[in-house]
Amino acid sequence: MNDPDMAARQHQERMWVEAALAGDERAFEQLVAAYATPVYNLAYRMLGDPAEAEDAAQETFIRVYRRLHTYDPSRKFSSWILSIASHHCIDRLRRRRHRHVSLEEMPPWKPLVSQAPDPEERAVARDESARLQALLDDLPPDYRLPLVLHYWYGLSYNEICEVTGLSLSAVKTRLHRARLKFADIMRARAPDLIPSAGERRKRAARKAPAEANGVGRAGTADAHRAV
Amino acid sequence: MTCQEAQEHMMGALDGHMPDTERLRFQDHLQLCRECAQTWLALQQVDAVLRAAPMATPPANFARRASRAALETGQRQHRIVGPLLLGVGGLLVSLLFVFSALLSGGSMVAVLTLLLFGQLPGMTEALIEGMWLLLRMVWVAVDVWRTAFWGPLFWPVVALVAFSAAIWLAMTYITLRRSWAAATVR
Ligand SMILES: [Zn+2]
Repeated sequence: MNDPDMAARQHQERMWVEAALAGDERAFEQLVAAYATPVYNLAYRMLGDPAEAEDAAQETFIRVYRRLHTYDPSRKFSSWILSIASHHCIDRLRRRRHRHVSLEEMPPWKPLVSQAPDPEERAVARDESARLQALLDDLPPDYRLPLVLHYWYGLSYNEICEVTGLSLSAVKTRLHRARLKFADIMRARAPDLIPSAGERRKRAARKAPAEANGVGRAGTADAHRAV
Repeated sequence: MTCQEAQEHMMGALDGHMPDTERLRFQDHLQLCRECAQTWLALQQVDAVLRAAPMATPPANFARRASRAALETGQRQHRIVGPLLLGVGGLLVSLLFVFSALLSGGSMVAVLTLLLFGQLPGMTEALIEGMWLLLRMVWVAVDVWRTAFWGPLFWPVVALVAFSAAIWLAMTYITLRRSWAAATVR
């Protein structure tokens, strides 16, 4: 975890935070550009809906801007921002659960879309990523969050504790149960997504979450290029 | 190794912290126990699928929109502080006005005397004098309130206080409502 790229990025982020606190709007815009994809992806993986994810990600950045003066520079900025995003998503999921009690409040267009007349057409339109997301949506949110933080952001157990505020044993238990449950869901609903043994070995060699440094994988590199 | 131990080791084995000695015992158990071998296979499959899952990317102009929204609500917050201070200040000034109107000219002199007492040579006398005048001032104020309650001054004073309080509340309400609207509307 002491690779020079990561140290340089953390230094850059600290400079942006300082400049933004001093009133430099451009510096804040650069922070947002660097974290747009990681924050959006977290919201999308947690909420499962692109429009709501966008809304939640924007709300996260509004909170980040308001609370920037409370950020402790000795902590990793990525942990801090992911923690704000995680808590906001969990809040939304809680509110949603309460709302589901009354059926009248459900938006009328939702059932119409899911009851589209042609199931084959739907199957084609839904790509592998969307199907994976549908499986993820079936996990309880408490299990989903550690799983998302581990796989999409390469966070260690301890880093997940820092972001979620959970104890180490709770993180381990939830991550383990999330994997077991996800295996059940995948076997029951999308057996074709399960990779063959050869494919699995290739994938494992290509990507290891432990190598990802802090703020997620491909998306961060893209975001930084966009800056 | 028991099945429970094997289950516990699966986490460590997936996330790369499993000592080599344990690894051998773990693998021995998997050879012997069909159930654990199946669970282990399923976990490896989950691991492979999730590792390969891509980052979801937001729409192209998202970062620009999000930073603008954040900066705008931040500025609105700054804009609340001004009117709020103005409102509180207005309230304080009107209250001061009301009270000084109620106080007689003599008690205002007492306040001024108290302010001067540090610079006078006979400090103790000045202090006693000041305290005495202060007590008299309080008494006069109470007396004025008492007579005002029965006299014609009472209702104009109450109306003035109510009026300034209403203006202050209205200003606070309007500024807060504006910032709430900004926070919820995209
Ligand atoms: Zn076993």
